[in-house]
Amino acid sequence: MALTLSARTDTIGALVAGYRPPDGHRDELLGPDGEIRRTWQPFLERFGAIGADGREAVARTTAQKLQESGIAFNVHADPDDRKAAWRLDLLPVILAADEWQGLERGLVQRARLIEAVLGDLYGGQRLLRSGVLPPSLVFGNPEFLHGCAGWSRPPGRFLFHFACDVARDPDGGWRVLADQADAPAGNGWLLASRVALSQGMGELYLESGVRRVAGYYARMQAALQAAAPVDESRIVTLSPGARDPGFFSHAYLARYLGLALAEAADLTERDGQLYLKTLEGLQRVDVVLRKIGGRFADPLNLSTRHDGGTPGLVQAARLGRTFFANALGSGVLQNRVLAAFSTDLAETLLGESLLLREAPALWLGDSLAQERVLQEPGWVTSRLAARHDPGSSDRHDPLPALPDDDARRRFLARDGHGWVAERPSLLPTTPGYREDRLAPVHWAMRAFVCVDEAGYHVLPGGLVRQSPTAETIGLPNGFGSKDLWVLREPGEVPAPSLFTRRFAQVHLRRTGRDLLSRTAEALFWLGRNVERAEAVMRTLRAVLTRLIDDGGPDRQPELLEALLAMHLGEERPLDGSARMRIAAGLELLLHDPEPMFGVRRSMDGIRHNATTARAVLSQDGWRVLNALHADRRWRPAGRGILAAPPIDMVNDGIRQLVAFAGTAAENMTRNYSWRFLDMGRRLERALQLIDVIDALTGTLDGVDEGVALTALLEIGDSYMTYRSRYAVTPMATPVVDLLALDETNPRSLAYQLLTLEGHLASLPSEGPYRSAEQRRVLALLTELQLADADQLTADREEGTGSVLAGFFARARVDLREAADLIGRGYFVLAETPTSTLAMRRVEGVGMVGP
Amino acid sequence: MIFDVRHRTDYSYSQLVSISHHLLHLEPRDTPHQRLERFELSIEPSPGFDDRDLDAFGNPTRTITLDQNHDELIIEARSRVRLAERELPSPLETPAWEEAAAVRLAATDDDALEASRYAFASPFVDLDDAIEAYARQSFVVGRPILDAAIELNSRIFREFTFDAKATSLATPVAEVFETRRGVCQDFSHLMLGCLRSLGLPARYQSGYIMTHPPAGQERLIGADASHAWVALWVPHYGWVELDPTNDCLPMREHVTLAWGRDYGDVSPICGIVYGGGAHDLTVAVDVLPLAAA
Repeated sequence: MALTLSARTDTIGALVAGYRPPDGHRDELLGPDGEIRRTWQPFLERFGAIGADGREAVARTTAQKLQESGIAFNVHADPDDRKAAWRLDLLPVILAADEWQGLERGLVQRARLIEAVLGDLYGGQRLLRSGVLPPSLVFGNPEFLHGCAGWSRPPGRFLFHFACDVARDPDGGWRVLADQADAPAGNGWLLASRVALSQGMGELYLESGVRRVAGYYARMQAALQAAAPVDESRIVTLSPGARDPGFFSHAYLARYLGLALAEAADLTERDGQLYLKTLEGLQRVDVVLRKIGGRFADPLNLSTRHDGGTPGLVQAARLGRTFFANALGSGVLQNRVLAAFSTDLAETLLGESLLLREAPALWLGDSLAQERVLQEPGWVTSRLAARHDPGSSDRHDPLPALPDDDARRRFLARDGHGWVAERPSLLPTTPGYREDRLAPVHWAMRAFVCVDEAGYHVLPGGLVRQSPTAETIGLPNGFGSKDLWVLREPGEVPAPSLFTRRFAQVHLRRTGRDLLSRTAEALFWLGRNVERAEAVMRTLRAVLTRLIDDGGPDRQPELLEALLAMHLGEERPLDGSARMRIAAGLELLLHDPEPMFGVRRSMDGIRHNATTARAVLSQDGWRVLNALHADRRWRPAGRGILAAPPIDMVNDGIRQLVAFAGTAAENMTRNYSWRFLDMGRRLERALQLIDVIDALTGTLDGVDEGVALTALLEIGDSYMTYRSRYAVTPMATPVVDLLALDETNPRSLAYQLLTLEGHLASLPSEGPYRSAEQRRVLALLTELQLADADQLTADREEGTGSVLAGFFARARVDLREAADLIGRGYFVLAETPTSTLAMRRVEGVGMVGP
Repeated sequence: MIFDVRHRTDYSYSQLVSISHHLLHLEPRDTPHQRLERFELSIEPSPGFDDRDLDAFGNPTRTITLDQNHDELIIEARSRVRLAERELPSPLETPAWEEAAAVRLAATDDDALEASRYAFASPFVDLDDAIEAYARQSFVVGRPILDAAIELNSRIFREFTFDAKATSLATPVAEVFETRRGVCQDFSHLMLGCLRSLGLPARYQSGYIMTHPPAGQERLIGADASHAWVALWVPHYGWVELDPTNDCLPMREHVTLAWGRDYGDVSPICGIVYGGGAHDLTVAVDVLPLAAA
């Protein structure tokens, strides 16, 4: 039985000591009598029983799992950016099955209502004819897509899924903060949070009798399959791309459901059919899980002044060849469009009274509402049909900026129909986990509903958002998240395993079927960038070791400067003493994001490419790269580099890159994905090798040849091999043999060309002859194979124009051309369209004469 | 009147285009005063996909895809249309303009509902205080709608200068208003902005206008042009067309192609090309009167 807080002396007591929810708000933990609700007791007892160390371990594992998933609002943001970081509170919101049931019914009713309204607005428009809805609510709404109305074959249904932002009232009922009707975002975040927390909690989670969310996702997967017009269907997630704050969520969901993750430019329409642009040509698309706003989906058929979208997409939808989830145009009921009308609409269309209350909202197309918003304090205005997702930009109220009430009246009379005025809703509290104590935090959530032939299904969970304030307009933004657990009823069986089995089969069959042209390009560049990073790190290691072992920068300044110059080129520091130049060069290559071949620039490239190609990278490979990018030591340290050379950091970096190479070698199927990654790596390594051999086998003023060649062997990772073959101080001929000609050395130039040629030979091609890029690489390889090291190095002593230097000059040009040809041959489908709309405007003429 | 219209557009690209999609609004629609008697469309090279349909505003469209490499595209439309006389309501007897603005909140019948689609800002027509104030000089309280609109039409003609160099397709209406310069498309968008800022339903009309050569000179082949003007919804009557570029109410010399909320809905040729580099474009339009109806 429940005990009052003050009387508790057990393990829970310490946790809840000092827990005081603010007056007038509902609290999830404590009932009106100040006692802990029964729903929370079993969990809290277990949570208390594991002790402070146990909780610390849970927190650590959860945080680690979250970090490995790469979860964020904006995947390209600086990991230190607090606004972009995803913070998950350890304590979930816990709801009993009967509490959940009320919300569930309300959500299903709301989804049914939205479906009915959409069907009418894009069909017979009886709601407009009969005056239930005013025309300005619809036609004055930029999310209403005229081009999607009145089709002879309207979509079978508009909603495939739906999300609703809700907050709990003091009486335990629920109110709607906003509808997400167009392209609901966030159930990928929800899933990643659940995965991390359930792994972190372990037994604690398993014993708590939590309803699983996997069944919901399996149902989504099955429903997408079922919606396809044909059996062997291809389903893609259409994402706005990695720049969108919701990208992580979309990508995580796509990966979990086993769907290709595409952007608008990856799709093309031919003859009323959508296709995916893959390495092996165009592949038919049957179902699109749409995560981009409908308004910008098709620049040809939906008038817009924005770039982007897929020309012809509307055509494919209209002809019914592609199923869109959700249907184009669903955004017309986004956010608060329904707020002022939902009660009447539920009566009119469903014959039911509305189950979920509306958070206070005035539709400003109405003249009485316009007056109210000017007379009464406390109303905040924002765009009626806007999309407010976690991590997206803030709302903007236009009214305060206007000079006076006359100007506000004019604005509202003219444009009011596109705006809503809202008042904050009180937010309930729930326990947050703070320094091993429970403390009340305010919360609201986004709930998810999906639709299939059998009906409407609510996800048993939610994307809980914490709020720094006690009241809110819309879903609170940017203040941390929580999981939500709905407890099973006594005797309730966990989600059926049938779904899991079916799901796994589908997942297996689809893996690796299509490689997008854009993904191939990202992999190629990922290969180049990891190799570029490794090359500069190996050079940096050679420099830093010499600083430490050989007594500082004054011992071999010429060598150290020459090494840094290989990567800095024109950007190398020229001013000050050698010592200052070396320090400045190190700073540039280690910490500065600007230099083209510096560590930071390559790491940013790696991050970007890996994000784009994430769907085809192994989980371990992704984790390694993620950890590398998250390592803060690469940020400017502010300490003197010469005083404390950061050799450990560079060693760790090299170790991580080698680990990534290992996961690529061991964990990637030998398909085209792997080939493009490896082609990028081989090509870049060949170019880097050419630079380093060229620089260190030439005559360096003031540097002993043996010293230079030792550095070369070290950077080329072939010192041990050399020592095992020749027990002498490095000499030019054997070094060149080992690093340029020896096809058995995976660090040699010949080996890179041999491997690259092999990849090129196995790519899909037209015609019986070798491709131009393959011929270039083959010519260079053959030249090396016919050369002999003595001759190459002997020539060098006679001065300029030596065989080796000449070869390197040609090889640089040919390899860069080969890279270009690979781009044109395989990534050209990835090219983005240009609009010719701007080509021609109508100028007209005046009539002359009578 | 019967007109033969020839509208030829030549694109040439500096690099090969691998694929292009075009949406054409080149077939004149039927209107209460206009009937299409003949229409031919030729496209070189021949498109792989060619679909005729009606768009959201009832205009005939062609959607074409060229999926073979090409560095040139020639689209030529030839139409024969017959124009009937139209009777306009007497401006002073039209209802007060406020009645038309009321359709934004409630559509009393299907015509009003259809009209209400055109009463709001659209991608090329932004509304603001300055434009509204300009409109209100003509639209004083209770004034008959057509009377006020004809005055606004004349004011735009008088106070704005036709200047093809002053603006581009990207010039917003607010800038046209400020500089008092532009072309027929700008003036049409501006007038739509004026009317809609008051809540009035007003359409963008795309089409052609017959030009008259200066006295004593021959008609030049290809010298006519695409044209744009507006149509205003007058309660109990219907749509009345106004041409602010020419300070007239189109009667016999305007051939309608299509209408929509603005240029973006009905541009004669809207295209998306992949590749192509730089391009050249030439357009030739001839509007030849055949005979009196």
